[in-house]
Amino acid sequence: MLEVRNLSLHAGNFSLRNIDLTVERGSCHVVLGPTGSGKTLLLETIMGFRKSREGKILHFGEEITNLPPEKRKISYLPQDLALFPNMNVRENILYGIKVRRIINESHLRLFEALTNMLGITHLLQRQVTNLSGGERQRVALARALVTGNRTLLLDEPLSALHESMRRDLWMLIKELQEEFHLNILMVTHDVEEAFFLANHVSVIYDGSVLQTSGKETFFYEIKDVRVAELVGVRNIFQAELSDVGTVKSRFFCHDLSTIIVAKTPAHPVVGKKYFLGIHSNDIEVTKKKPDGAANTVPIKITHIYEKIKSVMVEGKAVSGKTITAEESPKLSKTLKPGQKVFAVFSIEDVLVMDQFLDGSIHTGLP
Amino acid sequence: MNFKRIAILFSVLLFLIYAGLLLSLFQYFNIGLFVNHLFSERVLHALKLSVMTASISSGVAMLLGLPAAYAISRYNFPGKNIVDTMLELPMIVSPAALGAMILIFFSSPIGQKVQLAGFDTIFTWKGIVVAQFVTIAGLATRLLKAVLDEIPERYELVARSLGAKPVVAFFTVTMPLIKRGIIASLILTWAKALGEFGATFTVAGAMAMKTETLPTAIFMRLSTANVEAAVTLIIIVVGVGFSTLYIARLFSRGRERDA
Repeated sequence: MLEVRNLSLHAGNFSLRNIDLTVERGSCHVVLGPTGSGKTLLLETIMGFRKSREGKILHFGEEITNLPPEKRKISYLPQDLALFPNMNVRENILYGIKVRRIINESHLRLFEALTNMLGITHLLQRQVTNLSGGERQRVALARALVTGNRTLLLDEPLSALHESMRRDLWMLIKELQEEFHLNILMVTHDVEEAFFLANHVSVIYDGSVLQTSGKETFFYEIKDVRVAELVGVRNIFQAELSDVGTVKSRFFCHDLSTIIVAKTPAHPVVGKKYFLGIHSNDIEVTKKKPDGAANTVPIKITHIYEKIKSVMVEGKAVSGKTITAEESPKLSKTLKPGQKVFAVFSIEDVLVMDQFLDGSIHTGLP
Repeated sequence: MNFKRIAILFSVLLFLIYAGLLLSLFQYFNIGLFVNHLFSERVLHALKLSVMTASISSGVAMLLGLPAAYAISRYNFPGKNIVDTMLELPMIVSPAALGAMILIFFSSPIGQKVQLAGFDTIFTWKGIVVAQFVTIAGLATRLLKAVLDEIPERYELVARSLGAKPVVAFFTVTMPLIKRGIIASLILTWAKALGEFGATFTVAGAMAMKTETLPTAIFMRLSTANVEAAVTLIIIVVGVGFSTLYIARLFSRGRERDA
């Protein structure tokens, strides 16, 4: 188990501020963040490559904040994997146990188990410079785990791979995690990867953790518009709380010039400004106005974009604001640009998010 | 004429300038005189002395330069920029001035103590080593830093995450990767030391069969208008220089192939 408590650090003009994270025993915690948000810096600090200004790092209850990297018993896979080019595959994998002079029967058994499981036994004499992207990942994983370390930090290790290979490795990482009861802390900017591998997800933005939650609830507990943008919520609108109920409340949505009903936020104040977000796949496009639907916005279809297994339907509301819905290709065959339809979504599907603390309106929105 | 052709023209122009200088040597070249001079006791002594002092000074420069280059390449520390700038002193100060500075240092109380302790430098081969070392140490460190900069620090960090202490990570991962770069740097530094004249002449003088290196020998022959002998020595220096550059290139190519 790995705990990061109130970790802060300065690195040039950038700083990590008050980071709190916990990687539960045998679980995978994914830190999701855009480029330049401090993800790599966080891992490097946990590894001991950088000194923190304040805060604590605990590994299985033992404080490791000031221990050198070689004594932390945490393995690290950087983005480029850093396989040693002066060694072949076998020498790379055995490096950790050779330098620690702990090469014994159990480590050799682990070496065999790992190389078998990762399917790299035929590569052992090969130079690492002659490996494919996927093979390199497998060798790097074997090297990291053969030492017996059970905590693994992964810095976007799959980002350079093509789609199908990445998915294979997601499954492999899952298998390894279950087989060896690994504690994994992984950083990535890929939402799908995070969702596949994580038990818990945190979002880091500009050096601060904005949100941490379990995977199951993560996408429906978004409380910050920056998180919503990062995970790809395409429909984000400005609104003002106009009528507070115990379970549901009414918001006047300035962007759509209509009332939207959503769950009542914590500490509701009438007149307070919020952002409302709706995942595009939570919006249904109908030709007729449905009876009894909580939220119905008339739109005129402007574009229909085909994806592999779905279709993005883009339409403009009366106010001129764009609404994007993701539909099945079957339904979309009956739709065409210029058609007037209705965007329908339920109360539960509306994310109610605070605006920034300074009350400013986020300018990155479309 | 397009941009590419103009650029190539300039490179050819520079080549012709140097090639012209080399070709001009042959108006004073005589094979019989060349062989006579080459195997004369004085020239052989100058050659031996040059090779010996250049080897010692470049070896010491590499030994001190490697950890210094590592520190500048890998770490941030107070005064790093000042240290880095100071390494350029031999490049911005003329060799004669450097030599004068060495003489002044050895006439200072500390310098005199060093000489009394047995390290006498004035008009000795040790003085040649000191002059060459001072001239090339900054260059050696710069070359080694460039070699280290090419190797991502990440290798060492990953090695440490696998349990290697910093020194073990350096010798097991970084050192094998920079081996060719170190040899190439050593060869270039050695060639620079071999050709050093200004500081050497100022510190050690040009005593025949004692402190006369190849470059000082060339100067001495010219000062007595013995052009044929000077040409012989120049051809030796040019031959040794091109050979070392060629070997350095071979190592550099190997480095590129390994990378």
